[in-house]
Formats: sequence, structure tokens, C-alpha cells
Amino acid sequence: MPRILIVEDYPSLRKIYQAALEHAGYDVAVAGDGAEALDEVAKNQPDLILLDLLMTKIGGLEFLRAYNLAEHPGTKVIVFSNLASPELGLEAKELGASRYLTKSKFTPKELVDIVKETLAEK
Amino acid sequence: MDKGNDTLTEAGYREHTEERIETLMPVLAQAAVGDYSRDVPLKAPHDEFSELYVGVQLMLEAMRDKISQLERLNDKVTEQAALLRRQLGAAEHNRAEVEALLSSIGEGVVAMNKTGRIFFVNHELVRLTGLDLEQIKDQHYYAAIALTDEAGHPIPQPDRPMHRALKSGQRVSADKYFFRSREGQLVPVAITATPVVLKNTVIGGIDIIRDITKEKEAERLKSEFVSLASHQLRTPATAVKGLLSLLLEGYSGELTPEQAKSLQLAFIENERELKLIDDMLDAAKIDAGEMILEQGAVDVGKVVKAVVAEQQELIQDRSQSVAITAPRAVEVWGDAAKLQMVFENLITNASKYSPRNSRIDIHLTLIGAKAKVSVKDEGIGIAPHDKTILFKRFSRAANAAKAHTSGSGLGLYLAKKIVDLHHGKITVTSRLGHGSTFTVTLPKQHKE
Repeated sequence: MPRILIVEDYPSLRKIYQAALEHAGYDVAVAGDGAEALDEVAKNQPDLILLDLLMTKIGGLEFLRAYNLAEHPGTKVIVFSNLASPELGLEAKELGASRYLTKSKFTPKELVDIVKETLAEK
Repeated sequence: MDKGNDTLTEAGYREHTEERIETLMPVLAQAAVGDYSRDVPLKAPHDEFSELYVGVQLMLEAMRDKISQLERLNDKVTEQAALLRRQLGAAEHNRAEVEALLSSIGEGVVAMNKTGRIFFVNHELVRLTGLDLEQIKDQHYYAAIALTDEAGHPIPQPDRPMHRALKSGQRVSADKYFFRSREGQLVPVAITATPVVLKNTVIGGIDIIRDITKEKEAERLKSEFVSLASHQLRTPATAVKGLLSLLLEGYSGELTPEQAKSLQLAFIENERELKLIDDMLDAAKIDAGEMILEQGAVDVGKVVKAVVAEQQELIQDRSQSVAITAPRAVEVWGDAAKLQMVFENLITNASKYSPRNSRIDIHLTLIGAKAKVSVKDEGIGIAPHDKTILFKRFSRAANAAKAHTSGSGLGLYLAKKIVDLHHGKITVTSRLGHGSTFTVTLPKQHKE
């Protein structure tokens, strides 16, 4: 089963997304900020990263710059943030993110569908 | 022989003549130097000189008359001259006072005459422009005082407030332009340009210019605060949404119908809260001039149908029917997602404020270069005095607030602002108790 890394600093949301994705059968790892995420990807390369933007320590965009998706063609990124900013969305896409979504618009079930769709894309 | 009576000897006549002329001479001599005060010695007996004497005397008297007339005239002229001098002095004082007033007010003032030459500037304007007085005074207005956009590009003359004011004959206000300060900084300014009219003729124009750096900064801080606050408010509400969804999806086991119903209500209320946060954020963005349109060709019919499909549940719950008529495809250039917000607002309002089993008619047309969408309902209607507040922030019509429906008072405000950004118009016609029709007119293309 594909491996998914949730990078989210808000504990309740982290647990909710983890529960929904595990329920859908994915192998899920979690990180509370960009720094933890960098440790995690060093150990195991995920197939998909669900990435928050505003986090203490290392934020989402900073993580993307450090991780460099161009060097990790096997990993897809969905930026999942409550900062609905078109400018940040553009920047995230330039850094290789497949999608830029506003968290509050989606239920966990809808998120699972989007993850499925994103993984199915080439 | 009667002596001297009938005849005079030649010598006697000459003697008589000389004597007569001699008595006249002093009078004439004085008249020759401008003194007409001496009378001619008229005396008997009458002789051939008598008529001459009388004639000279009359001439003298006429001269005296003329002179006294002239003297009176002179007095009058002197008096008038003194009055004029006083008036001139007062006018000069007034002018100096007005100039001092204009010079010392805290806003920039610049006035130009009909040919565009600057004839008045005050200190504040000189300070704002970062120029020297000599670079402005008597110079050509548009050439001497440059105005830029926020990127520092000069505003072409036809777009400048003064040009627009003089062309239209109307006052023009704008707060999106900048001056470049002496230090090279862009200073945001609010400009009010007014044509100066004297006896029905435009004789020039005057600009009042205010530095709005502080206002802009306050706006930016407010928008930053709202943006951050919105993010912070959204996150817990997003968690609530997630948890309720998980429960409703049965992740924690089967729910009784009662439990499911309560959770669904909680879910809807939470969505309402999220929508309110979104609206507040959008309003803050619009107020700060930060709402950016992501433009492209928009099939308006498709957008309207998508909104109706999305709101199907609300409409069906109220047993209402929606009819969409569009004689042909209606396409505009705009931001599809934002236009969707506009129609979502109008259509949900039409449903919310209308009774059950009523009908909503949506009509799309193309009129010339404009697309027109009207949303007509059979609802509670809007009182004439409420029409003016309808599109204002946080305001709701009195009967809407009483209608037991929730609303933030932001929906129509946002709708109008979004339509404005598209250079369109939103209007309403209504009869209280009989329904309302909201009409959105959008240009098919608009020039930037």
C-alpha cells in the first residue's frame, strides 16, 4: 500500500487525517513540522506528502525547498493549508506540489478521494 | 459847437481807443496767465467798445464756470481714486489672506489655469511632490507634477484625475495613485480634482492632495490581522468538521438516526461558521485592494447551473423550483470562481427569503457587449429604503433580519465588490412582499 506522510502541526487535524487515511488502507507516517518531516523522509521516502504551510520551526514551503522534489520523482505533494493564498499556491506548484488545497473546504473522506486521485496521476 | 458829443477828432478817437484798451489790458493779461477772476470795468457811457467789453466779461464768466466745474470734477476724480486705492489694498489683502490660508493648510493644493499652467501651489504640495517650488510654479501641470501607479509607472494624462475632471466637468476623487518623494519613495495620495467654474465657464482646475500613507498602513495591518485571524479561526473549525465527518461516516460505529441528525446539524452550523470566516477574509482582502481576479473565458450559463446543482438540497428542502432560461451561450471574461460566489449568493438569497413552493427564475441574455443575468424570486421583497443599505458591509434589510434566516450581511457586499472588479453592475428591483429581481450585468470583455 502507498506510503503517506502527514506534515501537520495541529494535533487534532493530524489525528483526523491519519485515521481517515489509515482507514482507507494507506501506510501513514506523521510529522509535526518541517524539521520532523525532513527526518522522516530521510528514513523512508513517501509516495505522497500531505503538507501544511504555517508551522513552527520549518514551514511547508521551506521544507519543499530543502527536500527538492525534482530529486525525488517518486514523491507527490498535496499542500493542504488554511492559508487560502493564490500567491503561496503558485509558489508551492513551482516547487513541485501537485495540488494546493484549503483544508476547511474538505471532509476527511473527500481528502482520501483526492489522495487516491493524486496517486493515480502520472 | 457841442464838444465831443457828435464828432471826435481823429486824435481824440485814438486817445479814447487807447484808454479803453488800456483798461481792458490788465484783465486780459491776468486771463492770459489763467486768472479769470478780474471783471472787465464796464462803465458808461456806451460806446463802440461796450459790446466788446461785455463779450469779454461773458467769456471770463464762462471760463470761471468751466474752471469751477473742472475743479469739482477733479475733486470727484481724486475721491474715486482714493476709494479705488483702498479697494485695491483690501483686495490685495484678501488675496494674500487666501493665499496664506491655502498655503498653510495641511493638504497639498495645486491650481492650474485653462491652458494647464500652474498658477498656485502650496507648501504641502511642494513637500509631497519632492520637487522645488521653481520646478512647479508657472510650469505645465501634467509635465511638472508626475503621478504614478503603485509600481512607479507614470499615469498617462487622459487617466489623471485632473484631466478626467476637466473633461467631464465633474469632481473626480481617486486614492490609488502615488507621488515619488525626494528620497525616491512612493507616497500614496488621495486626490480630489475639481474644475474651477467662473460664470458658467471652466477657467481651470484645482487639486487637493492628501498623503494617505498612514491610512494605507492601517489598512494593511487590518488586512494582515484578518488574514491571520481567519487562518487561526479556520483551523479549529476545520478540526470540528473533520471529527463530525468521521462520526457521520461511521468511523466510530453505527449512529442512531437521532445521533446522525444532531451531528448533521452540527456539521451544517460549523460549515456556516467556516463560510462566515471566508466572507470576512474576502471582505478584508477586497477592502485592502488585495483581491486578485484569476481571469479567463467564463461560460456564465455553466457557472449558474453549477451553483443551482450545488444548492439543490436547499432548494428541494424548501420545495422550490428553479427555471434557467438562456437563449444562447453567454460567455464573459472574468474569474469563474469569484463569479460563482456572486451567483451562489444571489441564488441562495432567492431561496432563503422566499416561501416554500415558490419559483425562482434565472434568465441569461446577451445585450450588445454585455452579459446580463437576472435572478427573480417570489420572496419577501425589499423595502425601498432598504435598497440603499443592501450592498453595504454588515447590513441586512429589516425584514430579512426578521425572517429567521441567518446571514452575515457580507454576501451582497462581496457580490457587488466582485462585480465591480469585473467592471460590471448589480441592480435590484423589488416589491415588498412580492419578490425581488437581482440583475448582474457584466461586460463580455473589459480593457485593463
